[in-house]
Amino acid sequence: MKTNSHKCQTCPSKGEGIFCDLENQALDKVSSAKVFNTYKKGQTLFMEGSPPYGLFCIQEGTIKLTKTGEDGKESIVRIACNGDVLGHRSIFSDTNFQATATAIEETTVCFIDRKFIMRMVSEEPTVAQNIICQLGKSLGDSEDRIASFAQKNVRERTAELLLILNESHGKDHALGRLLEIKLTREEMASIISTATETLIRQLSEFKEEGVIKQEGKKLIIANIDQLAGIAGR
Amino acid sequence: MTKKYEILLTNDELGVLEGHMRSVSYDTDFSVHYEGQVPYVGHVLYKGIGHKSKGKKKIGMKEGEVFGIRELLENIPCDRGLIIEKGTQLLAIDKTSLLDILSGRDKKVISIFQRIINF
Repeated sequence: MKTNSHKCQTCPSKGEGIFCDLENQALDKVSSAKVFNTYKKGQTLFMEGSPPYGLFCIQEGTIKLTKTGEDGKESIVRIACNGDVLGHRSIFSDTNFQATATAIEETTVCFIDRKFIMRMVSEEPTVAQNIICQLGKSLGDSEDRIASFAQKNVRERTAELLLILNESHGKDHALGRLLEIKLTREEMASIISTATETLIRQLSEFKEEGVIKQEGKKLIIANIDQLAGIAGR
Repeated sequence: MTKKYEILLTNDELGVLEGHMRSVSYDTDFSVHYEGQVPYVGHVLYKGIGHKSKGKKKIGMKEGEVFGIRELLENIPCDRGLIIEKGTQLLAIDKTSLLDILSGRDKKVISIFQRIINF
């Protein structure tokens, strides 16, 4: 029978997660408590409105977090990738999940249950500190997003999105920075709260200006400084 | 992998477990667990309609049927998925809570979980 033996010490995202500062002995405790799984594209980790049983740490891959509006329309509120943690806000505020998490490519994820986390928080100060950091970071990201929607037009928001995707999924390429993420144009439009047609038009404008290039369905940022200027960074 | 037949709990046993497991229901049909994955929570179908899935095949579950508790404890994958229909009520337990119960003093609840694990 195959057992689940993925140790935190050998995690590809080591150094980026909330448990990464722990000593080996404590990391062994986390390793023995966690559940490791691979989610295929389209599989759901948790549903909006469901109770949080614990934290999900992304080892490798990409997860989209979506919320469904009153009109039934789905909007992407966050894209999470290697080293990111999901569910921390819900477990500490004891509220149900505020979004649905779905794998947008094959993604490996570790799960650690709430009771174990609570014990670690009281026993290991670095875990508590790192969780506070994560909470602060997600609050900062949310504030940036609100500010971006309030102050920036679609052109600026599209540029901002491409820069964010570059930070999380950008790879060096002969023509610039290749965005190695499988997001549909509809999903990209949803992230910046615009219509798919508007986003496509905006990307075409960027292509005409030489800011981006396209290889198949994948986008390449050809002039990152110009893009940052458009985004107002 | 999971044994072919799952254990079915009596009403009395369900009554006892209600106090030790989290009750959860969903507003929509939902794949609670995917075939071949290690469960991160163990479940008991309390009320409603649930199915175990293998490939495209679905087998109806009975109320009181257990899903994934032994696999949760042993950290091994379930060879079935778990799909529930809207409004179905499940009882759920995570690994740390289960280990706490098994090392505790409540003999009645320990014996129920032992029966599930050793089935």
